[in-house]
This record gives sequence, structure tokens and C-alpha cells, in this order.
Amino acid sequence: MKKKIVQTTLATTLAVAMLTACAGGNNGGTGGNAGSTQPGAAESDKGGEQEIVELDLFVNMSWWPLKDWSGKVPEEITKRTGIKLNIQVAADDKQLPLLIASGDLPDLVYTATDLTRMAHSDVSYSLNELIAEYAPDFEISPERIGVNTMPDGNFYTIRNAFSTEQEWKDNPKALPGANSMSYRQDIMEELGNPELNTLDDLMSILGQVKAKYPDMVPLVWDKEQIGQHLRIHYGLKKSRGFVDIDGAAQYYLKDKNYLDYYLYMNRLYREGYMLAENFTFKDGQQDDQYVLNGQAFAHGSGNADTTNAQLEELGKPFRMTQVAKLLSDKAAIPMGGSGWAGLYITKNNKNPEAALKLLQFMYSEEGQQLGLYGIEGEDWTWNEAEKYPVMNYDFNNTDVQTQMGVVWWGLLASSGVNEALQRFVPDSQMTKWGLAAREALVFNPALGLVSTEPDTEEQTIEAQIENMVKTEEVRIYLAATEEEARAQYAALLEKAESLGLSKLEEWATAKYKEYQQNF
Amino acid sequence: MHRRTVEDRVVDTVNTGLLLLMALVTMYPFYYLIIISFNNGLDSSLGGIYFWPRAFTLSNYEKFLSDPKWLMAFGVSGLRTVVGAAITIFFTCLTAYGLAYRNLVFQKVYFSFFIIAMYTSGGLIPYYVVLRSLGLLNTFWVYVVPGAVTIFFLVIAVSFFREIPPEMEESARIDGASDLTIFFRMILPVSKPLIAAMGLFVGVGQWNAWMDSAYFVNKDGLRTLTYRMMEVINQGMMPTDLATAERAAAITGVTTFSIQVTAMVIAVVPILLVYPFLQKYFVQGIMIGSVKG
Repeated sequence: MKKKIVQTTLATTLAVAMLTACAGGNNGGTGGNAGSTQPGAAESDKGGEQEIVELDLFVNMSWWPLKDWSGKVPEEITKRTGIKLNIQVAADDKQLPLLIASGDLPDLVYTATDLTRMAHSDVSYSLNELIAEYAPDFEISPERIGVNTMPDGNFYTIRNAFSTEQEWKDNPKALPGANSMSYRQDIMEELGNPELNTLDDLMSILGQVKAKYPDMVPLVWDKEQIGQHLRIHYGLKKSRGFVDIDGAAQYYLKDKNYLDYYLYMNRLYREGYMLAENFTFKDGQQDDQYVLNGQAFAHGSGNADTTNAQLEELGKPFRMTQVAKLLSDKAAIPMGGSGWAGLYITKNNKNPEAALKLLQFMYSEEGQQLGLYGIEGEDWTWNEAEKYPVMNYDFNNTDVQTQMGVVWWGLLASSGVNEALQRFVPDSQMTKWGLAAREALVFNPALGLVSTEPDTEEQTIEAQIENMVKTEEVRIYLAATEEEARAQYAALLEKAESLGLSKLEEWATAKYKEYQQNF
Repeated sequence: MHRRTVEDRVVDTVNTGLLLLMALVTMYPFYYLIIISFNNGLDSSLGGIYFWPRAFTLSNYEKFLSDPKWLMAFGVSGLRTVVGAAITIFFTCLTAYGLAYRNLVFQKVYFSFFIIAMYTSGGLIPYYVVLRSLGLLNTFWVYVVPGAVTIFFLVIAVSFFREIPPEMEESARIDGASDLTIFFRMILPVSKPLIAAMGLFVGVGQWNAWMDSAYFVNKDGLRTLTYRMMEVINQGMMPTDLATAERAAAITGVTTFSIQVTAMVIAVVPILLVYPFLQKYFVQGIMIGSVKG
């Protein structure tokens, strides 16, 4: 009898426990104050009189080098704004959608993807509302507001890496990070320093290298950027986007120079100046291996400054030189997107006013320069005559960046030009190339804004075509004859049509005309 | 015992040869990782390293083993392996013992319940919401509580417990022992192979898990070793969309392959050292649940 009572009680307790588990609501998610539990973690009350506000920032880039808010630059930002950030870096690209779907977003999110999902009134605060309420003195340039405005009329972020054509013109030392090419200086000299002014010159030099050094690979490409440097000389876009042909927005592959680019690449392959194996490289180090071992003459995507430093450390006798001029009059670098990544103030933010103040600071010239360059006077000085910042430290070295907490936090709301100015290092080879590439910048902001939205038919079509091109493009590169290459290019466009290209172009042209009215 | 004929010897030699070849092929990649981890990072990027490190260095290991975050992660991984295995063994055996009782009412219902749960799942988002509502997020318990009952081993344990002669239990009951006393004093001591197998399997699973550390936790001090390893690997993989590539164009001191590989070796070696010694229990344990003649 006693046993029965005990058993019944236990069973009932279990049943009740199960039911209560179902009921419980939001039991404090991860949005709360997730401070570090490590020894030596920064104290939260360093400001003295000013009360330090702690906000959680989720950085949606798994490769982000700065894993926490440490270093002299973050400390200075905290000193000047009274805000300290608790950093969480994404583990992969699924984490942000999970946080959005579960409603458990932290205070701030910095992301370059899922932008439209974040820019929704259910997910983030719209900046125009916050500015009206907390910071009416926060002035943002109308162009930036324009490129960040969503269909609902609000803007939720100010994406970085954006600058207008005028801003680029006003800063002659702002260098785009254009894809580069480097080559062996000593071999060039042995060939008698032939001229390298045009693409035909390049082809002929590669031919001479192949003839004189049959064991060497004339041209090796970085796995992910095959042909990219040449696209610059032909003025082409890569992977996605549209070009203006007679006023209509057509798919980038229909650019009048694209066939010439493909034929040039195909010729490089047929003449044996580049390897078919290049398309099967497993990672971004294989091409470096060829270069560092001295087995390649020219390096697509090569950065002579960094390669030479590595060659010096390895004790190799040769050095690389950068191709520092545009090799054709068709050269162009299409600009005009709306930026790269944006900082969003989520609806879970416990202190939107403080968050807005942080954004305002990082957007200001003072904040941008602090975040990107470091502390003025200590880490860098402004060269008034030539109008660029002179860095006192090796700003490209990730260890230095991590220790100081510099460069990357500046990207939270920086302009394209300020980011570009940092690249200017007089006498460096990349700077010479950057100055040449500058001349090729072309702006079409209306066209750059045309971009498909998630969960729409247009985006599905675009994604399908993109996937198709990735695999089919290789056929053009590896075609056995020029005629076959032409035929493959035509076939590529046909396949794109069959996947719905005309529908995509129709939509794009309509959008293009719409945006043109804003500019 | 018949005499070994020529045929026997030939078959044996061919067998041994093939198996050695397979062993080499499977073990070499891991051996390669180890030698690269002991090789200088820049020198590794030159390639051509096959059998031993060309530019031997311990600096890759120094970098991690002197980092307090890594030592903390090591502790967290170790703790969750031990605690997680213990909790899982305890609850799974307890549940299995209950289910093993032949005259249990609604037995079929309970079993269907468990089997359905084994094969289906609500997906990541509902799981996240459930963990949040239970208050498990951002605590150590999110590592060990959700996996407290492993259905796979539950089924094996049920078969195992049913094998135990009922006479043992009956005699204990006659002497006045309660269910729980029988379980702790008689059943568990007899189930050592099962417990060893379960402990090993669950332990390895706990050691290797990184997704829960990534998605359900954001306190630095709760990160596991495998999560730290993923961090290092991710850092070496800047994406290649043009905008990011331009930003990354000039970066030096990028995480080299050697560093990534060192992280992998550190994350794997501890469990690798333990596993071979417990493997025989694993095989025994799994077979125990199988049908006996």
C-alpha cells in the first residue's frame, strides 16, 4: 500500500514537472549581459565619472580577426563614447538566421549578408526614428541615406565602404583594393626588360618565358580570383551584377568586352601559359607555393610587397615586381554598390540611445580615423600636403591589428575613401598599382543599387545562373580552339536565357530606371 | 587445428599486405598534419614536406598552449566529457532498467515515444527555443543536459538488462531489497562492458561537439576546445567575394596552414590517446545488445 502511494506520487510529480516545462516563457536568452569570465577581463568601470554602458555586438563574419574588445583603440573608443562592447564572432553563416528566427538577437549586429532580413522593422530599429528621438544633430549625407533606404522608406544602417564619385575625386590618394598581378623581376631582366604596356605585350612576355624556361609556369592564379586582374583591364564585373547597354540593365556577361576577355584567357590556356590544374587548386596557398618556390613567373592576385617580405624571410634570391599600370584603354573598375557591411541596432537592444551614439561616433571623421588608423599623433599623422594618413606601424600585420584592436572596428561605419586612404604607402609597389587603378574607377550608383532581394523569384534566377556560370565558364577557358571558345560563350548565354535571364533583366531595367530618378 | 598450407600463407600475406596499405592510407593524412604542425608556418607554405618536418619548431604549439583561452577550453572540454558521460550513463541506464521490466504497463507507448524522438527532430530553431525556455542557454548545463538520455544506447541497454537472469533480482527481492537498491547494488556492477562502451561513445561525442558551443553559448569561459579549433580554421578562410577580398588583399601574418593544423592536432590528440585502450569494450558493449542464440 505504502509502495503504491509512493509510486503514484512520483508518477504525478513527473507528469506535473513535464507540464510546467512546457509553460515557462522566455527564461533570459543569450541577449543578456554575457561578460567574459576569463581572468584579466577588462573592468567595466574604467571611465571614472562616466558610466560605462555595455552592449553586445554580434559580428557575422566567422573570419573576423578581432575576437574581443581589447587593445588601445577599443579602450580609446570606450573612453570617448562611454560604451564598451562584448564581442561575439559568428561560428558560421547559419548562426545569424538562427538568432533572427528565434528572436534572440543581441544588442547590435554587424553583418555583410542577410542585410534585407536585418533591415526590417520587426528586427531592427530604423535609424531615422532613433535619430529623430535621440540625436537630431546626427547628420548623414543624403547619398548614404539614399543607398541605405529600404522600400518601406526607412534606413536601418549606414553600410561602410561606400563613397560617392566626388569623394573619390577629392581624395587623390584614396586607393581601391584592386586585384593585382606580380611577376619575377630577375626573369624580366634576363629577357631584356621588354615593354609591358598592353595586354599583347603581356601575352608576348609570357610566350618568351615559356620558350626560355620550359619548366616554369608562366602564369599562376589564386584559386578564387582566376582571371580577375584581367577583368580589370577589360572593364568587367565578376559573378553578378548588371551593365548598362543602351539604357537597359543587362546581365554583366553581356558586356561587349566579355568575349574578348574569355578569348584572351582561352589563348593563355591554349598556349600553355596557364595550367588547367589551376582550376583544381584546393586552397589559396597552392598558387603561393608555386611563387615562393620560384616555379612561376607571373602571379595573378599577387601582392609584391607581401610576397617579397616572405621571400626575404625564406632566403630566396629573387623578388617580385608589381604590374603598376593599366594595360588597355578599355580598363575600368565598376563602382557604385551601396557599401559592404552594416551595423544594425536590433529591437532587443537594451539601450538604443547609447547604441545610436556609438554609431554616430564611429561615423564621424574622428571615430573613423580612430577605428581605422589608431590614435592620432601616436599611431599615425596626417600629411596635410598630400592629404593622406601616415601610419607609424605595420598596419597590414594581423598580429599588430589584433594587439592594438585597430583597422577592423573602424569598418563599423567608415567611408570607402577613408578605408582607401590607409592603403597609400609612398614607394610601395601596391600603391603604384593603386594609383594607376584609380584612373579606371567608373561610377554608376543607380546601377550598383540594383540588387535582388531574398525570397524573390529574381534572386532564385540570379542564384541559379550564378551557379551555372561557375561551372560552365571553365569550359570557355579550357576550350581547345578559339572557335570552340566562342561557341561555348554563346552556349553559356543560351543556358542563362533558359534559366530565366530575360525575366531578370526586365526586372533589373525597371529597377534601374527607378533608381536613376534619385540621382 | 589443420596444418597451414601454401594457400593459407599466400592468403595471409595478401591480406596483411592489403590491410597494411589501407592502414597507411588512412593514417598518413593525420601523420601529415602532425608533421606540419611541428614545421615553421612560412616554410610549410613552400610545400614538399612528406615524412618529417623540414624546419622543426615548437612555436605553433607554444602559441596555443600559452594562451589562457585555450587552456580554459581544454578544461571545459575535459569537464563536459567526464560529466556528460557520467550523466548520460546514469540516466540512460536508469531509464533502460525501468523499460526492461517485462510486465511494464504501456511499454509499447514508451518505446514508440523514444524511437520517434530518435528519428525525428523539430529542427534547430525550435530546439534553440526549447533550450532558452529551460534556461539552459549560456550555461555549462546546455552541454550535458539535452543529451542526458541517448536513445541509441537506451535500446542496447534494455536488451542487455533483459539478459540478466531474473533469478538474481528475485532473490534480492526476497531479501527485501527495493528496486533502486537492486539497480545500484546488483545491476550496474554487472553491466561494466555496457557502461564502458556507453562512456566511450558518449565521451567522444562530448569531446568533439562544437556546434552547441557555437550556437548556444556566448560566454568566453564556456567555449570548448573544438570550438576554439573552429575559430582558428575560420580565421584562415577569408571569403572570396570581391569586397572582402579587396579588404584582405594586403594582409600579412595571416593564419598559416601550420597554425590551423596545430589547432586540429591539439583538439584531437587527447581523445586519440584514450580511445585505443577502450576500443575492446566498445566492440563488446555494442555486441552485447545483439540477439543471442
